[in-house]
Amino acid sequence: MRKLSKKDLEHLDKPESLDRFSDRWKDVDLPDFGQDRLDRLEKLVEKIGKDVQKVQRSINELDRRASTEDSINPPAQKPLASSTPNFPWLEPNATDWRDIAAGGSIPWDWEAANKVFGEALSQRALGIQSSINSLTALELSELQRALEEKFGVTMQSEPETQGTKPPKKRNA
Amino acid sequence: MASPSDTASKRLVRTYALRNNWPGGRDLHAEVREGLDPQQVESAISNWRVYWMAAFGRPVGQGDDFWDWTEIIREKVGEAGCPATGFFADGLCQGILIWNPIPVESKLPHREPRLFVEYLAKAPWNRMNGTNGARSRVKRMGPLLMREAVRASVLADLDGAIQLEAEEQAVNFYRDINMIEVADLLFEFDEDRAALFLGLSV
Repeated sequence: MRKLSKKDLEHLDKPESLDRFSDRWKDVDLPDFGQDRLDRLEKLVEKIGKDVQKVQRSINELDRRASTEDSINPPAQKPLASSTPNFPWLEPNATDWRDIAAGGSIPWDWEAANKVFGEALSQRALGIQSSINSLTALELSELQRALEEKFGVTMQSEPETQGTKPPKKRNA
Repeated sequence: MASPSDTASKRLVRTYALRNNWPGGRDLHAEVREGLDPQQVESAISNWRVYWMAAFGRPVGQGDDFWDWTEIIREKVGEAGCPATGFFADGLCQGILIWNPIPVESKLPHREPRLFVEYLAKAPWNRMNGTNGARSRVKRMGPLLMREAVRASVLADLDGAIQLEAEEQAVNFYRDINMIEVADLLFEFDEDRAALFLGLSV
């Protein structure tokens, strides 16, 4: 077995050596990490942005119906929560807020409804949070910027820690 | 054994003609500069930041790279004294290589010393798919940077042997150049494969 020597390096400096080397590896290169990462973040921004929009639409619709309902039946005359019919689409694990908003009947007990909506919002927020938790500090910063730009959504930042997540792998 | 940092401190400069892959673009005369100090690496990366800002409206480190360059420069190039080598053309850094001055043991049974490559990175305009769908300007920066890593290993009397920890998406690249997969995401060149990689007969 012949070991590479410093004399071999002189050979490497010749233009023909570089040409041969380039030809040999012409179809090989490092991948485009930046684009992969941007694509992944782009999808996450879309997902979270749409989730937040759905919730916002549902709340707006609920407010609209509430004001209509109030004008017909003043709140004081509404039945108590115990007599509220079962609305499965108001369960905390409800997933599609457009369905909720378009769900026909609106419960009479607004306090109870708001509580259930609040729980469902928390569930949805937990899902978003688990996605966010997997991000690096840099990705989180990118996500905040993109959400604000594209959807007008402002995320509340955690206090930033120095060097939160060191690079896990090294060679790109 | 000569330390890689000793050899790097000589700041040898070589020039290469690199083919410009952009339509109508002239070939680039690249200089390989060794022994870059933290300020020089920061300066090189700052050009990448400018490009990324122009292309995507965001700075490097927030959408471009996987790494926190500020931390790498401070910790590796600054505190650990890791030598850094860059390809420069048109006043811009086209790619950068950072390795550790302390050799590591091979994961193979003989446990021979290897030069440990800390980071390989190419400028955003030299990416295979380019940015914004554009073609990369200089192709094959990856192999060229690896070539410099083998050179550094030879200069450190490590016979071209290298070890590195691969990013998951880059595994195919290291397989394509015939590195030995000695553990999950851990690759090595032994002397033979390093010579073959350079196109030298064993």
